Amino acid sequence: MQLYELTIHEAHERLKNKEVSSEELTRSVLDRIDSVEEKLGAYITVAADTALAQAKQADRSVSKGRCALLTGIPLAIKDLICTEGIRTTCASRILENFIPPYDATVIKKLKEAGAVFIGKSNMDEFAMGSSTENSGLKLTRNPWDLDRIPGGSSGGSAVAVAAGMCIGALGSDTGGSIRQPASHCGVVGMKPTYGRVSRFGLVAFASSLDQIGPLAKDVTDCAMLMNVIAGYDPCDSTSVPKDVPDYTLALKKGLQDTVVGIPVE
Amino acid sequence: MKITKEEVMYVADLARLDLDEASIDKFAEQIGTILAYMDKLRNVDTKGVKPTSHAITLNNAFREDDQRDHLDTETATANAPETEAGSFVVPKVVG
Repeated sequence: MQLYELTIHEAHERLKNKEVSSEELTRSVLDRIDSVEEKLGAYITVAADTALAQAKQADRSVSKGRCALLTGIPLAIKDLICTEGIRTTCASRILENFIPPYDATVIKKLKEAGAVFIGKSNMDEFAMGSSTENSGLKLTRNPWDLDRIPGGSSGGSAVAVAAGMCIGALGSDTGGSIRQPASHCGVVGMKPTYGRVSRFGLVAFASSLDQIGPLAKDVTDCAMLMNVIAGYDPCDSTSVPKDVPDYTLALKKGLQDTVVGIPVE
Repeated sequence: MKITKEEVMYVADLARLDLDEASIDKFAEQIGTILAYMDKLRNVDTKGVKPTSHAITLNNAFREDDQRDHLDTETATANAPETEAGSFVVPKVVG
């Protein structure tokens, strides 16, 4: 098994037990991107240098005994979430050279958690689309079948997760833009309840519906990402001032009493 | 609920859409189907259900109007193609 194939919780265990370093994990993901990006087109920007610097910093933190859930974990970020110093284009030529002067709240939280930012993933321009064919910068393909679309608008994030070009990712969902590409690419995606995750620093599509959420290799990873990104933010007046539960606790309950409804069409 | 061809033409006119005869018939039928679904929703018994405007009650978000640290002018204008005296320079748009 290659390091880039690991889930967040598997990588976390290995980092915590010092079986692998974040630098090794990050290099594995970067090598994977080098070998498949040309076919898949998942990334608009790969931030290799800053990612490796963050990985080394994470390794120093781990060596001092500090290994939080996301410390040293390489993540892909949809290219409409502002990252200070890293180009944020919204997949549009209009913003082709835009370098945000500040971090979105979710990025700030992930930085505090010690995450590594591998790069900015492709999307439909300004999130307006459901196939990632409407990016102004490049085309993203489904890793399971290159002749098919990956879904969208968070198509780059879904592909990056499915193809091992990151360990986990963030997307945004207005009317299906996390859930639908996650489904197309066979990964787990969740749109959190409106108000749960701050949108400060997210370039808006439809502000009364947009939510940032995780795309991950399994449900446990999804819960781990939610634990970090959820919570009230004074900079987003629609975020809800409620305590954030430990989402990983819900994983222990199982599904035995759960009823799943499917509408008949 | 049935939608007439005249109603489709009226809405098309408002939207500055030029529809041919076949499209008018098609859209009259399709819009009718959507509205029929709304009629179906009307059949749900909502007696005793309070009107909901939002899943979670939020109050207005107020804060003190005090001075805080924000981006400095240089950082805020760093992406501008052209700046002058700390301001964005844009093309003249009025005569």
